[in-house]
Amino acid sequence: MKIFVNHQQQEFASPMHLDAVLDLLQPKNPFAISINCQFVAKVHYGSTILQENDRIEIISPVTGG
Amino acid sequence: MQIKNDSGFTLYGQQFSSRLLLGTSRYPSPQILEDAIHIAKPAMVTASLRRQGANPSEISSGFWDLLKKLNIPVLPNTAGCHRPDEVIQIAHMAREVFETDWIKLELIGDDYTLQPDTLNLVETAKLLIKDNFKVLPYCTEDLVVCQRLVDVGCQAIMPWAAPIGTGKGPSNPYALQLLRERITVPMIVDAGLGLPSHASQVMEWGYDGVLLNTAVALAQNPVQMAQAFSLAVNAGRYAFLAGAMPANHVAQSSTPTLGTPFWHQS
Repeated sequence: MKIFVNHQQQEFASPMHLDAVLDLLQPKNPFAISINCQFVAKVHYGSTILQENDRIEIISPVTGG
Repeated sequence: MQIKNDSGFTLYGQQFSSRLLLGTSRYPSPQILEDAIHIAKPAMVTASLRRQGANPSEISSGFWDLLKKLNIPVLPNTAGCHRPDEVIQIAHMAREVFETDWIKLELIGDDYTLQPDTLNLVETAKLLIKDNFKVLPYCTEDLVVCQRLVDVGCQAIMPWAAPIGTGKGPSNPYALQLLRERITVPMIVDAGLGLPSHASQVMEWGYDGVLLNTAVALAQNPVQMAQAFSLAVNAGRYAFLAGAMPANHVAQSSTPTLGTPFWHQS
């Protein structure tokens, strides 16, 4: 299954839950997730099933003004 | 005569002893950022969110660890958002990452000036307030827009002095002073300040605080400039509390004229 992670194409088994993908990706903490531009709260990681061509964004704190 | 002490100000029911909010971007090094924050003692520091991997140096330099160590309230921004739906998503992500309901609402309408999209700002603020965010909207000095932001529940607003990062200081003093007279909620001048005298100026007009970043970060000595701004904000506030003298068009001698020697000989 083709998934885009921060605009980079990656292949994952199908079907796959978001928490399983994050276990593989090991993002640096803290982070937040959106799928197809929609925020996914941490409490929903285990119940979110990814679909072909989903676009995951993993974002983290940076300096800002 | 009694001296009025400044006890700070209140935003959304939370008391802050400092009237300076400081941005964290564009400093020469993380250490200089930390030193600037230590000397300025800001009420809040601003932060943002970006994709992991897009800013590896910032993430690996321990910005998050610094925020935790400083233990100063964080004000996440929605910088770079051009659409209300983007703002809403980023705000929710910021709430989860920073564990705070504070949000600096930035909705950009023009990339050249980074002018806020005032046509959509009010509705976006309304949506965020409905989601229980403590919204500090970055806006222009437009009186009607500011009033509408208050009407939808913003308990403080943040008009610009000039476009972000220009350092030009208040470009529309008349409108900013008029705004201060008409809007009763706390107001923080955000963006466009370049000198401590700019900060003093708006504080003398009765603004409740200032938010700045580039003026400190790009100074030759950011730490010393952070101190200068901190002092200027307080000076301006005390001047406001003191009440300025009325300006005159003609000179008035401050030294008594009665008893001036030799006056009859000239």
